[in-house]
Amino acid sequence: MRLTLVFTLLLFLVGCELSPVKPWQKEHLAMEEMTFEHDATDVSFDDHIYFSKEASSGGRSIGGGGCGCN
Amino acid sequence: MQLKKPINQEAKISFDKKLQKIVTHQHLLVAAVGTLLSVESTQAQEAKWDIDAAVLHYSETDRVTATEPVISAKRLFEDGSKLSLKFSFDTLTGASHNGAAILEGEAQTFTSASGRRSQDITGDEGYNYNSNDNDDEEDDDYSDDDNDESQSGQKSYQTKPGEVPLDDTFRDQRIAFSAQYQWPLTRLIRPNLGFSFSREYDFTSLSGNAGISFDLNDRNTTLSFQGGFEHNNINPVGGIPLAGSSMYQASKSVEDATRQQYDALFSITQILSPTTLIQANYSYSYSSGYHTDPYKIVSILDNDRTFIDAIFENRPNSRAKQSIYFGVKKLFNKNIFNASYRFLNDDWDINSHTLDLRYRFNATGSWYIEPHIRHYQQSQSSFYVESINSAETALTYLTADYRLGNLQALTTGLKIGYKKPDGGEYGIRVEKYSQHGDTRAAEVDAIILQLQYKVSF
Repeated sequence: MRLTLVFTLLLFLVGCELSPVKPWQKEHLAMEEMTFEHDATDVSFDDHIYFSKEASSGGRSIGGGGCGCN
Repeated sequence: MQLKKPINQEAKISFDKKLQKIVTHQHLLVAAVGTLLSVESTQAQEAKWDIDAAVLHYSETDRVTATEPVISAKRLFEDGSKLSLKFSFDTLTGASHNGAAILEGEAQTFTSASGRRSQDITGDEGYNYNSNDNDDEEDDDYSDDDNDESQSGQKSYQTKPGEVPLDDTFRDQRIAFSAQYQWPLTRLIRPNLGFSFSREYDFTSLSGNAGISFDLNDRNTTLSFQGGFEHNNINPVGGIPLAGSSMYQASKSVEDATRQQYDALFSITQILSPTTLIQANYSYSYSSGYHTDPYKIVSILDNDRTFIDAIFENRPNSRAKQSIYFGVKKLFNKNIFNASYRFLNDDWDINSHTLDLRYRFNATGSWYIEPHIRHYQQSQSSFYVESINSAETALTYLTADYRLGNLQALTTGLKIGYKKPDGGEYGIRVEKYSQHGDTRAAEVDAIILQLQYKVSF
């Protein structure tokens, strides 16, 4: 919990310290492959496998749907 | 003249440099405007469908095999709203560890869940079997090809000395559907809503989620708050076994059970540079209700590891877990480095660390190769045991499910993709997944194969 707070604060500081990226510098970031949502199918397959084989799940997002496999 | 010449040359060089700068600036300006337009155009989208069809084949050595076709469709609307739909169907066959200890010196006989139900139907134990539970289809979910059926109707299966006790009577089919919708409330604020439904022969799940995202700092920071609720209904073959009762006595407490789960997630996504994106999430999840695996047992052994009995496991009625997740995406030339780390902690005393690394080589404009490595490590839950002795049967919570024991797992693999000139994309992914734990029951090796086709129109 403490670690999360420290990281959150650090992230804000980093965000404030760095010069903001301008819209015309976001050409690469606009690529679909550069988004965290890219490869959603691979990620949902992986989540399903690891949910059924390990004790941990989630952390990345909410809304995957249930499974009786664990 | 001779003196002036170098001056003229200097002046010419200086003029050339200025000209070059102006030209460069013009190029930059044109590039910037072009990029700005292209970025804006991805936000004020022209409406289109993105279809992603894929099939996953997961195959463990000597154990479970699963095949899962999935089709997902994403619609981007002109106002910037986004609808995602996903439908999947999966079939699972094979054997899984039933929780019993591996005994080197003796063969073991276990009762299958369908056997428990058979006995319930006969009424031998006086249980109130509900004949209206509409479970006709369940008869097909358990195969009895290689199993013995005694005169009492009890079905059983055997494990040889030194072998991992595997219940190979298991079959499963699952359908799942989910929908997500996100829309722009203002240019910088986007709420989202979603729901999902899944159904297996012994498990039904219904969930809903809602959230909101805010763009800040010239859209370089995105804050997102998400909440979710999930209701699960567990309706196992043979009913819910009485925790701690012998598997050979066919004790059933009730027909079915429920579990509710509440989720919250807070996420920050930050653009660090024109080529670097990071994300940090904190999530909390609380579930209450039936968490026990109704098909898992725990062996009772005497001091020289001779079999005495096998009883049904019992897990706590609630679980609270929290996790932190960090992700980074970085572009190197045309290649993309993608890393994530998750730390999870719960009130069952499980701590886990997951590290996931991918590097996408964009070999040409059309082909890409993406190696992937994932390492997972967890500590055991407070109530995990390999087996117990007769004095320990009084313990409230017990499980011998290796998935709640100390566990490490490694995934290594490769994805190869090809983008067609007309916009379609093929992908194939092959991976190896290996688990290791404190017992041989946790030694699992699997191959993951994924075929995929994406198209937009």
